[in-house]
Amino acid sequence: MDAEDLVLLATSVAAAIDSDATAPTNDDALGQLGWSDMLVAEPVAAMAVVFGQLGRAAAASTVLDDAVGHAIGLSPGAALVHPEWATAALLARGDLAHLQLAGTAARSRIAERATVQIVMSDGVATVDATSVDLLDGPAESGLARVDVDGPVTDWTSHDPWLAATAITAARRAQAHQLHGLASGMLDLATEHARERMQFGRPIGSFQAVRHKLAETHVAVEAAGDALAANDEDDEADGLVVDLARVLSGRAAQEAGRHCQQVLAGIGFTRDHRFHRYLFAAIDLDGLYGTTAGLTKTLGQQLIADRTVPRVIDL
Amino acid sequence: MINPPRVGELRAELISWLDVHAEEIAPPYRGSGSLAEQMIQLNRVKRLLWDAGYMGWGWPERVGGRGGPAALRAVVGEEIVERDLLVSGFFSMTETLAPTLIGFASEELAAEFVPRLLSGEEMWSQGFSEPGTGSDLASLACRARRDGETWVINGQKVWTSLSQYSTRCLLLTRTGTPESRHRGITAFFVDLDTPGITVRPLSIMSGSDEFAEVFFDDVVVPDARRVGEIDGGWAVAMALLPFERSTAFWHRTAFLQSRLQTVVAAAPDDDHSAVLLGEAFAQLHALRCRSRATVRRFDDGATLGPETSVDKVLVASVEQRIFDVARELDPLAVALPDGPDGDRRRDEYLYSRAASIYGGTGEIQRNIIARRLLDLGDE
Ligand SMILES: Cc1cc2nc3c(=O)[nH]c(=O)nc-3n(C[C@H](O)[C@H](O)[C@H](O)COP(=O)(O)OP(=O)(O)OC[C@H]3O[C@@H](n4cnc5c(N)ncnc54)[C@H](O)[C@@H]3O)c2cc1C
Repeated sequence: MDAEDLVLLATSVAAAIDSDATAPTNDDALGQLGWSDMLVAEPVAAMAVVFGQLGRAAAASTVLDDAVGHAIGLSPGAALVHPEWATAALLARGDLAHLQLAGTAARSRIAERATVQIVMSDGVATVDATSVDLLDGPAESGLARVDVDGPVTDWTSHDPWLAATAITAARRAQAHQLHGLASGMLDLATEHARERMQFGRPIGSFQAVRHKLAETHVAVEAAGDALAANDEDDEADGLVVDLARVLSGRAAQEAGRHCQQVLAGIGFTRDHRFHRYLFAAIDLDGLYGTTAGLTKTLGQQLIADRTVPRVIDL
Repeated sequence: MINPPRVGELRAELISWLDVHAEEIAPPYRGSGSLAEQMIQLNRVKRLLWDAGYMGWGWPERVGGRGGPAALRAVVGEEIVERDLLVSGFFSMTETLAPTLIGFASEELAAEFVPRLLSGEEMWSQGFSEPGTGSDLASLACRARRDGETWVINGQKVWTSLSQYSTRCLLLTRTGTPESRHRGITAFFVDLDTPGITVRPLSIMSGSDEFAEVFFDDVVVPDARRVGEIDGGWAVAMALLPFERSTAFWHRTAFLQSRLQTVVAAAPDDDHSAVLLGEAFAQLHALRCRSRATVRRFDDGATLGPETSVDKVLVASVEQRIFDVARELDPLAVALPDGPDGDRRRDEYLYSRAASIYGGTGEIQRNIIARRLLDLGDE
């Protein structure tokens, strides 16, 4: 897909999703746009655009399950149980007659399906939805903690590298979404800075405000450049994706902090859209590992190898 | 003209050349060396690279270069810098000094002098800042008065790095009224041995005499040494930026990569180090992705503009981050260093403090980002 196609696609995705709609509604809208086919034909571009736009609009959706599922050959629409919050690794198969584990899942999708799939390090387990207990959580969160307790009804073994592919796909998707969230927050705060008057002038004329937004812009751009480098390479390995994921997570944190400060009181209400971005950024930053956890893992790898790889070259 | 090699080909060829000539090209000193030794080494390495044909890639043939995209210079610099053969910042000064002459001086002037800079025959300095003029460059006061076919210059420059080792200086002067700001500035290419010029070295924090004050007392410069239009010096100064922020920054990423490598090699194996190193690594990666994209845009003929302030903020913050981590993980090496390598670590830590000062301060970059990129209007 060339740059022009990508822009076109981004425009149609942005038009299809609705930041006020529920996750199933947005999932349907993306389905009608041909999300499943895109994922097969152009997975990198499809993920960049769809998750990027979901972030920018802070729109609810459960299509992360499709992105992860696609990576390991599941058919689109499968409902997944992801690893437990803040855990980067997948579990290995336990007692298939009576599987017991804690995980995380997209609330609306799990609620709608009769069976649920669990991606594990050595295979994919299918369980009945009745074996999955959705725990309570904040009403605004699309994700929920789940407890799985029941027999595996179907099991497909796979190689560990395939499981790694699933993790990479998840992080690639999240990196785009977190980056979208960060840049959406920056847009909100920048617009506010131009319009909100205090002391007889726009608050965007105060250097303290300007520099916070400039700082955010740098973080958003840095993450965007890392994402672009990783999208250049269809075969981008886990390291490149993890770096982009960490940088996007950082950008979302910086944006959350600075933009909240610039939006001040109005940004602290639920009338203003800012809170959705902040909620989404908090929610996302824990599936398949947190930004902080992944950062530490990157550092541990450097120490183990005693070498700093030249990840990209001219 | 022979077709220029591709970046990867040139890199491979250069690497094997460097391996073969490793002994000849290595610095004769350990650690930092003195500034005088560093300058000799700088010019020596440039000479060897020039004679072997590597220094000419990416520069136009009319100034003795061999043509090809700027990415070729970026990659040559990267390999040289990563091997610690010389001081990276000094090497990269070529990237900003040569293009101004190529872009703005007469063809003859550029053809005569640029090869001397590229080949290490000469070093030049950049006389922009003055005692009363730092961030607000358009306020500069050093005056040039026209006198027939010559100009007479009076005033003072400061922090003019390496002037005492330079034969020539790219100088910004005031030719308009004192209030004319950026509309009344003219650039000159001045021989530093011209009568009336006094160069007084200044010690910098990290120990050497890298800075200099340069005094001009009725210094006569021929009009043929004017660079750009009369009162057109602002354009000359601004034209540096795309070069600084493409190839020169790519060189800097190589320096930072090698310094992070040094820290990683000796870091304690614990969670605290892992977090710090992971963060620094991710930021360095972001910088490299950014810088690569900028070099590519530059080679594609794009006009680089205010968006490169992001590159500048990144390069400064990554440099400071890496040396902060170095110090945090081994404070003794910065506080009470031991031996020549130790001195270098302390010097480089100290030098990293300047990364957000030279080339436009961090605050000035954020001002530019706010006004030009975020469209926040005036302060
Ligand atoms: C290592 C090094 C090498 C150098 N080499 C050269 C050289 O070769 N040639 C040369 O000409 N110059 C050189 N310089 C000088 C350099 O360009 C200036 O130091 C720089 O432009 C800043 O100017 P200043 O130091 O006068 O600080 P000032 O401009 O006085 O600024 C002081 C502080 O005020 C802040 N400030 C100023 N204006 C604003 C504003 N509008 N908004 C917010 N904050 C503001 C600055 O960010 C800074 O923090 C070098 C400097 C260093 C440190």
